Amino acid sequence: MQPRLRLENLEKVYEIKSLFKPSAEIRALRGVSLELFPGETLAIVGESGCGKSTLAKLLMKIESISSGRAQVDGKDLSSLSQKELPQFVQMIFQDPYSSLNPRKRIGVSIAEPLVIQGQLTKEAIQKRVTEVATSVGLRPEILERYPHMLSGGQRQRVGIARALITAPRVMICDEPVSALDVSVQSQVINLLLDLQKETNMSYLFISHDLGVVRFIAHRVAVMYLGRIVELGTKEQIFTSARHPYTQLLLKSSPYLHETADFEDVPTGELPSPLKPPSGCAFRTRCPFANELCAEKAPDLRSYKGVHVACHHAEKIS
Amino acid sequence: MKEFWFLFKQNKGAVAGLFFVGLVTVFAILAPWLAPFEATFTDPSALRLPPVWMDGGSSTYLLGTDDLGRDQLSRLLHGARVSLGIGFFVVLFTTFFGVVIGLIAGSLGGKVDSVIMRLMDILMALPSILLAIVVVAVLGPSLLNTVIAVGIVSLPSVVRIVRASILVEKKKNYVVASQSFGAGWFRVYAINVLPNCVAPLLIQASFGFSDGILNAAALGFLGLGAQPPIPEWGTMLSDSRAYIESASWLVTTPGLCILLVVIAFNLLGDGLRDALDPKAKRN
Repeated sequence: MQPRLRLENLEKVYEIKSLFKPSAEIRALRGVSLELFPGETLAIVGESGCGKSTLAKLLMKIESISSGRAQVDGKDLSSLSQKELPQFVQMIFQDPYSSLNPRKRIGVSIAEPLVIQGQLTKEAIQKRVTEVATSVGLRPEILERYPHMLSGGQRQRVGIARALITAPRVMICDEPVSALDVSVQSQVINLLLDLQKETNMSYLFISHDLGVVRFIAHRVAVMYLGRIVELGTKEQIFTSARHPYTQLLLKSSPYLHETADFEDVPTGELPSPLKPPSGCAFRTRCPFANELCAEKAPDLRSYKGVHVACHHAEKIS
Repeated sequence: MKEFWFLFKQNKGAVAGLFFVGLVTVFAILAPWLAPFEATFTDPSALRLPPVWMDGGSSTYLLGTDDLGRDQLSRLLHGARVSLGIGFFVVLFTTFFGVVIGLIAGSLGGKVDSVIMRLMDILMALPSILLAIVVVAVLGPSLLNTVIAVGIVSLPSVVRIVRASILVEKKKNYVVASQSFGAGWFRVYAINVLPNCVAPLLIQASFGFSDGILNAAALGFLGLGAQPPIPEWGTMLSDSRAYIESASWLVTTPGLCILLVVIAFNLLGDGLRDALDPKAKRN
């Protein structure tokens, strides 16, 4: 089966130029490779600053790819024009408050991708807007309102409708529920699941909420400092994680435990991406780290069906 | 809009300012009909006549006459036309060029932004009246050149405000979304972003109005603005400077007019800021 999305060794390097300081480099993404299949939800989890959002920006072509390849439906991402892109990849934003123009009516906001493409007549666009709005559970009269008159959940539905209107193959969901109330979260997630069933869309679901990920994802990729450190099915990741960082994440997620016991959670913070540690990036916080980890960065390798980037995967259970 | 009015109404000073601005505007528009005389009509038999309530005042000339026998009230009313007109065109000038320049600086960023903003810094670093004098010296004193000179002086503040709000807005996701759909520069910035920067612009326009009137009056006083016999308030002040002791009403009345109009616009601007900018809400 041809993957909807194929990333090969994707890299993103930000250069920080300053007049008075030597220029520095931030390697936000380092050799990210993954595949996303039709009708599949691949969750990308990791701490803030691990490169999740950078990945989303690269796929939306808001930022340029430094090296590596990204293919959508077999087409190279760089060969698609920005106007064509929404037919292939669309995005749902985290914050439903800033993702809608406060001075524009909801209907206008939803129609924007089609209006920019400029291929349909006004009537056809209007029809499509109503159609999409209904499919995400928005009443037609809402289309005449302004964003500030809507609740957070309604706004996020508007965001979904806007992303859906071009019928994309791949939907990037950048923490689509983390800004919503818990009760509304489940409504939106159910909506996303229903839409996936209907259209066979693929979701790249960026999140740090493991509870939500466990509910919606088919496969999970764990990222740390710009690298994928573990990639496997949801069951593999949640029941038999091999990478110490994945285990740390699972241990420190309050939603997954009945009794919170955070005593053996390693402390420390994400190292500065300006000065990443030598070798394995996680070694500064890893309980298993030894000399090998400082010398050589572990590659993502297959171990018992899971892809894991750790020298000690065999030792860890 | 209803919410705006509700917030605006709570600031009594602002409402008074708005009322006074409205009143002066009506006077200015209706000046040819309200004024008892032409602005240039002279009565050689009534030179430097005091206002009606002072000894020797005449009910024909309610606010007295100047050194050429012109009716002071009529000249003040016509002067309102000139001063408000200058204020209006200065605001128009600065808003138009300020928005264009600020939009370019804020949206393009990088070197273009640096060059534009450094130029604006240079304009700001010069004392405003000095700069206006330089501009008038180059262009020659006239009403139009006054507008241009005062406009250039107040340009940097508008450019800065537009640029600052563009920089805030462009980081928001609706802009990112619009860009990801393939929207061009004009659509992203002029259609999507600019309408969200209107509030600070409106506030600035109100202050710009009063600044414009004040600066134009200063130029007029220095003899570099409106030229006699145009009844500009600043020029009137300057013309009657010699009589400040013998006929003080000639200096007092145009001075009061400038003072009140400037205060009114500033109060209005404060009220607009209170109502439009939630971050600057009064405590």
